[in-house]
Amino acid sequence: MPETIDAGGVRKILLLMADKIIAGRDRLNEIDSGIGDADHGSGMAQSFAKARERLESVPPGADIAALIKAFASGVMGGGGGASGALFGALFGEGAKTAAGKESLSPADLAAWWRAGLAAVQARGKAKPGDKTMVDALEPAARALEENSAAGFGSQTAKALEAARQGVEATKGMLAGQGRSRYAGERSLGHQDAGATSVALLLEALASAWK
Amino acid sequence: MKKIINQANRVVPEMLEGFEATHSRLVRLLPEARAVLRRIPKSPGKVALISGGGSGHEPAHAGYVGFGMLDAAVAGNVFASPNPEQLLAALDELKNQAGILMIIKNYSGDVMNFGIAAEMAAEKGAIIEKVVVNDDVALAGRDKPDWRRGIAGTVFVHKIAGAAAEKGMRLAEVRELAERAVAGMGSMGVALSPCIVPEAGKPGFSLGENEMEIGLGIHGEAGARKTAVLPADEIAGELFARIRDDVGLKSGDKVAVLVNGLGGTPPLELYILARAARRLADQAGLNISYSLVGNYMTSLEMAGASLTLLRLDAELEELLAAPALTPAIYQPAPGQ
Repeated sequence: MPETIDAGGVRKILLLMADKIIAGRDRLNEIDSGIGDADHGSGMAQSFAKARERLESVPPGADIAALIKAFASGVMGGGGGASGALFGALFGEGAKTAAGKESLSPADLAAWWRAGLAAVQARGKAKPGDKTMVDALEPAARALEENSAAGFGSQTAKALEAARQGVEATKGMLAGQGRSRYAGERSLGHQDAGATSVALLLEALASAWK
Repeated sequence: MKKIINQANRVVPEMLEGFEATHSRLVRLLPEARAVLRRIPKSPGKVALISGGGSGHEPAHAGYVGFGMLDAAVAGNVFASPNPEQLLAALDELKNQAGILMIIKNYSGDVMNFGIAAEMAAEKGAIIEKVVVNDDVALAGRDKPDWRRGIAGTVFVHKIAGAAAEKGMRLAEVRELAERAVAGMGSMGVALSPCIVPEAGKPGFSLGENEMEIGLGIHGEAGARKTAVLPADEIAGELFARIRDDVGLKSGDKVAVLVNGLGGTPPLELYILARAARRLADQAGLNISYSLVGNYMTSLEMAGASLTLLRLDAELEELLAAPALTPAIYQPAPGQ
């Protein structure tokens, strides 16, 4: 891919993300079974299938913000639950940062994820260290910013690495938000399913430049 | 997993279709939104009530739609909040009412999705207020409201706010009464066996043959502690004491009592708990003026029960006793 992403590129990236989550359904359920209802993957797959459907119904020629907005509405209007609301906020705020833009630079990509992180935290109240999706999203957003001069390939690879490290770190955390926090000490040792989903999104993003 | 289902990912729509078919005189279904509405809407000058949440808690919440209680109940996937689009579709059906009160159980998914829907509806001009029910006393006191989950006591809030709305009270008054109920109410439960979310196919936690969990939420999420199964009177004693202290109930108080089954415990056992609760109330000098015993807020097939105590003043007492014509609570006016 070139060093800016046009609407066609954004469409491709969003489809890669949807497919990655849908394919990750069973693994995400398995991870969630440690301290959750074992349904994170089912809900996410339903949400991202809806997002894919909404994206595909956006006519060719639509701008980047319209594509991300349609995708966000599907995520938010799919499987519901906390994850529908939070991942919907991630894309919904992303759409706002892309408003009026015909292409995205690496810095624009970083701005999208930074705004998405802020929206997720505003809605879910999670701080880094609470064993949530924020623990993968925050380092990923930071890596996107710090590596925006390096070009998309290197930038997104670094963000994926940061997200994966964030997921790994959730194993040692006590849940501080969401239903898993009621498990207290029992949440130790389990990786967070929401953070894992963030890493899958970054994996899809990075794969666009491989 | 042994369940009477067709497909794990179809349990919610198929349940709702069966619900509508059974209770068609009282309710109608918006299939796309998975929303259950009153068959005959209340008059436009009155406040509407909407609730909902994850499925798996039946008869909550669709069972409380009807005269004297809710106007709409929206169903999410099993144990997952409905999404904002579903809620907006249901809210749109209530747009001619004199304001809308959302009754939300304190779980993060419900609080977020109802909150987003409320913001979006308000942007379009709807007049909406919210009340968050956090009656669970097992994990935290009133100084940590975020840690208190919304469980079976939500049914009392539906009943009280519903009767108030039916009387023609304004939105602010209905909300104040709902909040008064939440402030004077506590619940706590025990589980004897776990439940299986159909799409998961296996239990979310395990309990030994002679083990029970005290103080869990309504999804099987962890409670306060595990212990050996205790006699009914001792279970009731522990739950009663915790709730009494939390609510600050004193001799002479009037209360409402709900002995709620979680889905897998027979009425025989629930009535043994109800007997114990009555004896404990008598000893504490509490006067029970309204009681419910049965499956009102379940956790699929989980064996177990919860106890709810609600402090009553004259107004709350009258609202609880007011008539209700819903699939799950069907009571005539007092004296009839």
